[in-house]
Amino acid sequence: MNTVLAAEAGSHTARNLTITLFLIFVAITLAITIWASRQTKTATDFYAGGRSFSGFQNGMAIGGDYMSAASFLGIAGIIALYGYDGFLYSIGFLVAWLVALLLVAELLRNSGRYTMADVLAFRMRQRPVRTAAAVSTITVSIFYLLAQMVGAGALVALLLGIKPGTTFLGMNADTAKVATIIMVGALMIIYVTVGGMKGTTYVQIVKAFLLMTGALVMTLLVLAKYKFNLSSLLGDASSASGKGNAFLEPGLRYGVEVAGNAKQTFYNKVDLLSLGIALVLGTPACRTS
Amino acid sequence: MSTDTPAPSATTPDRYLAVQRSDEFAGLRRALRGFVFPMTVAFFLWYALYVILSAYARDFMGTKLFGSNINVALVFGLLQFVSTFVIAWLYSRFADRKIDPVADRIRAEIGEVTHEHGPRG
Repeated sequence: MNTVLAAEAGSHTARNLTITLFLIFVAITLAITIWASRQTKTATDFYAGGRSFSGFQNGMAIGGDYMSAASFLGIAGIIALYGYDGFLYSIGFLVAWLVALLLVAELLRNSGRYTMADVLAFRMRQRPVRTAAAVSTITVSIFYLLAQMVGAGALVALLLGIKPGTTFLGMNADTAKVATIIMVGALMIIYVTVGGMKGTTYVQIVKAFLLMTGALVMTLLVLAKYKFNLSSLLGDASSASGKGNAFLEPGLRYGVEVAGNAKQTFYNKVDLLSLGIALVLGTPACRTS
Repeated sequence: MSTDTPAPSATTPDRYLAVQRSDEFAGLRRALRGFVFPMTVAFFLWYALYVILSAYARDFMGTKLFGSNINVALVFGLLQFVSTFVIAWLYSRFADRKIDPVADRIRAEIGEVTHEHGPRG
């Protein structure tokens, strides 16, 4: 009983700590946004950050943008549940960068234009191309954002300890969840509209730095716990997963082999190959638009 | 960002056509393709091999190495990380040496404003 209470108290302190850190992050990023808005005077400043960012800064910003909930939490989660297949998934994301680097980046850069629509409109009639680009951008963004916002809402709800059956600031759990989604969305809109490209770029740089440092520290701490013995870490992970050795091998989630059902097994494997292609070709397409 | 991109230079199409026909420009495109296409085929096949082995060679991928919990699948996956970073590094070295100088020179000849980009990396 005492240990339960202690654990409860411990989780309370942990939650207060996470909420404090979260609020500090929001405060810092808002401060950056307001600072950037003071520096923004022209349209170039707003849309292209005055083109004052170095290659390294831009790289960090793109990295920060890329390390979204999907890659950071999604991949961590899928590895926790299915082990190796999550790792396999993340590699698709990684290799996809080469498609963007080798086949898209140089041509886009040499065209001297800044968006996909600019490049296309350069060679073709402006209005229809820009309309098509705007429509597809908005369509993709809405569906992309739906997933992102639901994820962000769930995350913030978890952070604030909003659980079904509990109340938060006098709201029931469902209302509180919707409220957090709206709040997170409003925050994003403020970042972009107030800070412009300069503000968002700096926010992304800070985010990339924090995420990478955090991941590095966590990795070192976990490895240190296992005296930097990767094998015993993997062994513990697989036995704790309840799936044994299969946890460290491909096949728990993708390309599942169904005993006695050759057809389903075949479909599952084709599905895995298809996922591999989609990850490599789809991710850069998503990023360039 | 169309606000400050110069309008497509309809006034000087001949100049652009002349550049397009020049040996220097053709050489630039050949150099870029000569690097990009083989490299793309190489990394794609390397990645495809990894996915195909993950789908159809589970026993091989599950083989444990050095009597530890580290198996072929893990090493194969980590090698994908290595190859990706090596290719990115090779490309930026190649572009710095072979592409950017020529591209900048051609741009200067046309009289287009050269983008101020430092070395990549």
